Amino acid sequence: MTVKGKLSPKLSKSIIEALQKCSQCGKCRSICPTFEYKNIESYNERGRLMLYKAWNNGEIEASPAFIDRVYTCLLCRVCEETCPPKVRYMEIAEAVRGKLAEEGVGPVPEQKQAIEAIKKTGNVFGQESKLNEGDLAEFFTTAPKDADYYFFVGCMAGRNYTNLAKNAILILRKAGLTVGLDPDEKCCAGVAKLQGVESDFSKIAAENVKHIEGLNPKKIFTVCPMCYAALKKEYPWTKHIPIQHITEVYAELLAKKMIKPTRELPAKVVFFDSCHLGRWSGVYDAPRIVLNSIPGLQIIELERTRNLQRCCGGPIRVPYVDFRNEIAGRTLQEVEASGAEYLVTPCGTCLFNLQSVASANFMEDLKIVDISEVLAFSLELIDKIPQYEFE
Amino acid sequence: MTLTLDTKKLEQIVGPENMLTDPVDLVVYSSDATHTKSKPNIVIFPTTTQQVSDIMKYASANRIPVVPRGAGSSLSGGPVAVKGGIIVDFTKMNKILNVDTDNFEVLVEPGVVYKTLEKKLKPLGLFFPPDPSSQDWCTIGGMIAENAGGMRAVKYGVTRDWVMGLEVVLANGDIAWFGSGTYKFASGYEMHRLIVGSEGTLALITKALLKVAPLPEARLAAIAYFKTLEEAGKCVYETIRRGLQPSGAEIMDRLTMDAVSKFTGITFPECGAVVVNELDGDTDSIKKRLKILEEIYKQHNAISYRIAKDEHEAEKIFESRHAAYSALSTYKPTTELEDVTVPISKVPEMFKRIEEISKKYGIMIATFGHMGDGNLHPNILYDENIPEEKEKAELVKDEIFKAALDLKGTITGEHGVGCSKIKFFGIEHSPCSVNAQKAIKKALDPYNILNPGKIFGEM
Ligand SMILES: Cc1cc2nc3c(=O)[nH]c(=O)nc-3n(C[C@H](O)[C@H](O)[C@H](O)COP(=O)(O)OP(=O)(O)OC[C@H]3O[C@@H](n4cnc5c(N)ncnc54)[C@H](O)[C@@H]3O)c2cc1C
Ligand code: SF4
Ligand code: SF4
Repeated sequence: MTVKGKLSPKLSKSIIEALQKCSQCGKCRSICPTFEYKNIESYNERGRLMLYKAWNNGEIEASPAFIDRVYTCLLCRVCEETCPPKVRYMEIAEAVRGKLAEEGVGPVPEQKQAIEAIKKTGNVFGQESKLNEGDLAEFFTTAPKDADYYFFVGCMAGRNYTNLAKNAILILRKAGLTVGLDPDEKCCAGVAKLQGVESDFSKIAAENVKHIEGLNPKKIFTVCPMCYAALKKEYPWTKHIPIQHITEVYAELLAKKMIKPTRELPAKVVFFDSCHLGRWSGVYDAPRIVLNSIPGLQIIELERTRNLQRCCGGPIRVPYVDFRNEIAGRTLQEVEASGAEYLVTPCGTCLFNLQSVASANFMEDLKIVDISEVLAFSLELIDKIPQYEFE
Repeated sequence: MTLTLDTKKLEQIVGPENMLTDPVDLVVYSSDATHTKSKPNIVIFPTTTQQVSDIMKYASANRIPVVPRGAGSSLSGGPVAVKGGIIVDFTKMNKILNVDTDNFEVLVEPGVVYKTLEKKLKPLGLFFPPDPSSQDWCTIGGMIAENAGGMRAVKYGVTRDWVMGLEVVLANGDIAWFGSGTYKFASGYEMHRLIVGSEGTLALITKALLKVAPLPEARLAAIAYFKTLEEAGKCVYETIRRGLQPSGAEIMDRLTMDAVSKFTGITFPECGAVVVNELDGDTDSIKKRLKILEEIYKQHNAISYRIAKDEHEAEKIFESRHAAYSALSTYKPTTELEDVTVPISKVPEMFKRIEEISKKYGIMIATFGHMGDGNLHPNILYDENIPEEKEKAELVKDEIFKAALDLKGTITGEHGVGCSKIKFFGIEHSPCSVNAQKAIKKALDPYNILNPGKIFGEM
């Protein structure tokens, strides 16, 4: 075994200490989605931590295989939920990615492109248009400062799955609330944070904070769980503005009887806990309160639910589509076997990825829908779900 | 040591998709749940017995070390390729081949994970009793090779007691079946029982015929607190003497309790020892035995005790014990978990000795374990970066092993010798006993290619 000459360690002392907390027990074998797919130890938390250590010590280089193991990690954090000594995996992985970015060997080109698009156009898709120039134009009726809520729409609902945004606005309006949008809204940059490009993230976050605080909103909500986690947990706010995920808003409106779902949806439903809403933000009950309020609807909880939910695979879809297909495919099979008719997500990214894989696998009987869609349907605001069907 | 390996030949056997040679993977497969480290030359994943046989033919012709591996959760360095060579990872041989509910038998491939088997058996009203704490991820092959035990061993015994037969591949590539599908067996050597616990040094297991048991109608958990470890020890001893047949009799000392409290928020009253019991069986018999159990708690001056009202509460009770190993890592950078085992009447004395050793060297030792079968887990807590502490910890380990042997115990009850307890293996067993064991090893593996460097060290 050749150990390269003692290089100075790349990671900080606190990260090295965090790395040493891993007892190498192997429990993460039983939970990591990328390991479920590959069955190779370097694709689970234990393996990845060993690699980070070896790379930090100069024992291995940032070879293509190393880069592959680093960036195929979904950063889904499910391994943190079952790890007996509670290794702070996310912190370690972000630090490793940060260092790789500094050294110019990460992130992978596809992720770099997304970050560049955000920097250039303010949205992850690189679209030049403003938010009020597309599908949502008619909803720009109230300025954020005058509205009950400022709605931070996000790239996915703002530009791609606009029904996600429309349904949310319709529901809030039905409750008698006003919703303000901002034509100059910019991407939350959560993607940059995940890829460890801290400098880009903090710059955009600071700009966004300044801009949003300047809008003077009373309260903020998001439909995208990643935006929610970034805004709520990572942004350097100087003012106190309450931030909620849309499901938390709905749960509140239900409790105050400001909305009352009446149209029946007599169906078995599986709720898909998105990583950023669940594990990142700890919101598990609000979406279930929403679903339980719908007459006729019955929630089925699968074995991997709530904090153990398997990621949709979306975070690595572009560079590693085979992983996404396998990982989402596994969940879809479990949902199908449960006899559920609907799979409900609280996240546009999960929705897109699950639907793509379901349609590629001809799972025509399973309807994959957004939670706002289901609620809007029961509130008789829309008449048909799913709104997005796949060919 | 340089090994020349014909990867092309191995590729022909298992296919390119079933082998790993990238340095990145070799680093990851260089370890288990200990800090023993040594890189293999290649990792391969056979999918059939024939492939395993072909691998062994190649390895034996070329004298290449072969190290079997399951989930790599061993606590003794068992699946580490200390002499390099081929790691044969069995996790792709993971089919449950047959569940024979008429005869209470299952036939499995070695890579089946315990939890997967449990899930398959539960709806049929059956279970596989040996229950290591690593059950969510460890493989049946690894359990057999380590003769793993668990919390229920006090009533149900260890893995060896549930293995009826094994298909194995021998060092020369021969495929042999040992044992029988019958409960009684007097036809020749019980070779399958010899393979159990042989740590991959005698043969590679490719199929296992296991006995399973009907799930008990009910399970009940209880927790009791005692002033001293000695009282707790005597109490557990009494439950066994009076024939209560507990299916769990776990103990934790104060140091462990404090760590668990810090780690999980579970609180314990002022006490020196805690005992967690499980009773299983039909409801009537549990009721009867519970009465006696409560009597025994009182007779042994339990400070207080609690009986779980339902499954959820039972889980809560066991949660503290399950958290023990991880919780202890909060004290010091290094936790070394031992698994000495003594005759059950000697448990209180063993506790006393551990305490004395800890005092003598000024090194923290937290102990928990399967008290009902005398299997204790003293955890030596220190900082390996401080040379003086490291040295002392080594001496502490020495003395703990010697104390166990002095009390007619053994250096390992369930984790195996691997490469971490070689030194003490020669102390536990007489030269004649070691020689006889080596003779068996030599007969089955003349070129010492099956997991070399384990149990005996150099042959
Ligand atoms: C947190 C934790 C808790 C644990 N709790 C317990 C416990 O309660 N009780 C207990 O007994 N142990 C326990 N262990 C130790 C370990 O989990 C068990 O020994 C387990 O059975 C090993 O299974 P594995 O699949 O991980 O095997 P590995 O660690 O991969 O291998 C173990 C040994 O088996 C050999 N081997 C593997 N497969 C084969 C095969 N097909 N043929 C021949 N040899 C083979 C290997 O060479 C090695 O020597 C624990 C470990 C951890 C990390
Ligand atoms: S579960 Fe946690 S401690 Fe165990 S191997 Fe995985 S990361 Fe390490
Ligand atoms: S974050 Fe997710 S993908 Fe990454 S190691 Fe943990 S469980 Fe696996």
